[in-house]
Amino acid sequence: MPAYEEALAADPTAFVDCATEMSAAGNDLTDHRAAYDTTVTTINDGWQDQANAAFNEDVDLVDEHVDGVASQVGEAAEVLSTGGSAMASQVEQLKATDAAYKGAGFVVQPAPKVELGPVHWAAIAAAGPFGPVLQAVFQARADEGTMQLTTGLAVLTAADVATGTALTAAGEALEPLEDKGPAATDCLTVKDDGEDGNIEKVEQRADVKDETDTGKDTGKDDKGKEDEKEDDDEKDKDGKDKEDEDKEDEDQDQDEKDQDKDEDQPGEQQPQPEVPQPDREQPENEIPGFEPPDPGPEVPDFTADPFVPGGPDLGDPWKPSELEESEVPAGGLASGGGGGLGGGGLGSTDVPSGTTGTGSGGAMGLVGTPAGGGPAGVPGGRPGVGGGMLGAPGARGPLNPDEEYERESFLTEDPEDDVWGIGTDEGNPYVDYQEEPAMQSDLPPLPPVEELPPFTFPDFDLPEPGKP
Amino acid sequence: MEVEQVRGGGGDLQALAPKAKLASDRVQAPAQTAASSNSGFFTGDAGVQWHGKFDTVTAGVERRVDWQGAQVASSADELESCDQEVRGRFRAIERRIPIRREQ
Repeated sequence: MPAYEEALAADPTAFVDCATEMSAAGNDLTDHRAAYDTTVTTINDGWQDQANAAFNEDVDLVDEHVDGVASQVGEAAEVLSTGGSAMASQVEQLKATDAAYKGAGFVVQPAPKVELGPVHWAAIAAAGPFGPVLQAVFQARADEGTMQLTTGLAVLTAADVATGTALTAAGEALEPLEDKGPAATDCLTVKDDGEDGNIEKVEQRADVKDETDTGKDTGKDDKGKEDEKEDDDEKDKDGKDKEDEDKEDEDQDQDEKDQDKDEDQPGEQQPQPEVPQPDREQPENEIPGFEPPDPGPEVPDFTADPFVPGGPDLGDPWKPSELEESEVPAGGLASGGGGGLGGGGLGSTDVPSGTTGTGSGGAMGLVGTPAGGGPAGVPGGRPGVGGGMLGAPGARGPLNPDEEYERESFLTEDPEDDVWGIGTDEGNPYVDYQEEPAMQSDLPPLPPVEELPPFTFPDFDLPEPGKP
Repeated sequence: MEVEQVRGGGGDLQALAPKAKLASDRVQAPAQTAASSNSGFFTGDAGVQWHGKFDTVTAGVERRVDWQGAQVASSADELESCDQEVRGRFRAIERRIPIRREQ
């Protein structure tokens, strides 16, 4: 905001000159753009590839930017030219007014304020009695001049503020082009390739995920089937076990419950994968099959959360009593497992007594091993149970009478526990009659042979499928 | 690609780039004059500031165009070197072929 003295000294035509230069600069930019485009066209004439396309994209950016800047410069120049010329005329008017009053002898203070000059005071004094009247007239003229100058200065200030604000806004609107890195063009092409590759990779990953998901689903289904299987086994078993001794029953029931709990738990995944291993190994190495001992001690670990004390004790008593060396646990348990399975296989010819036969036979085989378990285990069934019960307390009853029962109950549950693999033997009827339907259900039913469309080959005919 | 033409074009772009600065340079003196001869005027300072912004913009254009020229020239150089490389390989193959026939 110029003061009065500054306004009088101002030369707003310099603004107009500056605006002229600005518009000339805008024209320079346009010319520059034209020359730039010409050069680019020359380059494009001899260059056609992906990098050239990227280059032309960048050229378009520059052209757009320069166009925008040129138009902005033109607008700013117009604003400044208009405002400058207006201010120039206003300053001229102020100067003229100021000069007129000064020429008339008035004194113009920089407020701005017009006061009576010495000429006027002399005239007033010379006027004598009319002096006050003459002073009033002069003062009125001076006040009028003050008002003119004040108004003119206000208008000039307003024009200055408007023009300056517009020019500042125009300057703020000018945004420089972002600098580019040295490898920007390379990045463009590389980026395209990377995107394509990434899409493919993502698709592959998605496929893999789908496969794993389906695998998980089927696994869960299998588990469910096995659980159902086990439940059925347990029901059958419970019915028959009641005929056996009460103690044995209790132990079995407790074990079964424990196992049920554990099987319901989500952590049952561990026992599941072990199923196939003992199944395959046991029939091959009937007695030396080392797998039965392993699932044996593991059973209490999973089943006997409430039964913790009984679990770890199971394996120990066998070692010292039956065999001498480090192989003792494996051999003893293996023999027991083999005997139990053998008894089950033999005794299960009549299906209803199969479960009890397995368990009791196993028990007897384990107990009777030192005394020659082979022949004792073969009969299976009821007599086997009796032998087992009688022989067990004799063998190590003094040490741990309860161990026997747990061991017996554990063996009894072996066939039902498909988890441990003993029940899923090839010789075990339970496995066979429950797994086969599952296998069949997975495959879609094949149409009868007659309905199959006949295969025809151009060179030779196949025999009719219906004919033998 | 016409290597020489494109390389010349890149050089032309780099030669053209500084001319963008001329547009703002010609405004600088009048803006300064207008500001100094109109002291106390808001517009005078605004004009100087505007010139500063404009100068930044033209400098940006200059850098961009110069960069583009460098890119174009380097692309031409790369293609030429690639061409020479391929030419060298073909010559190597060419040299190998008669040897194999002799064997």
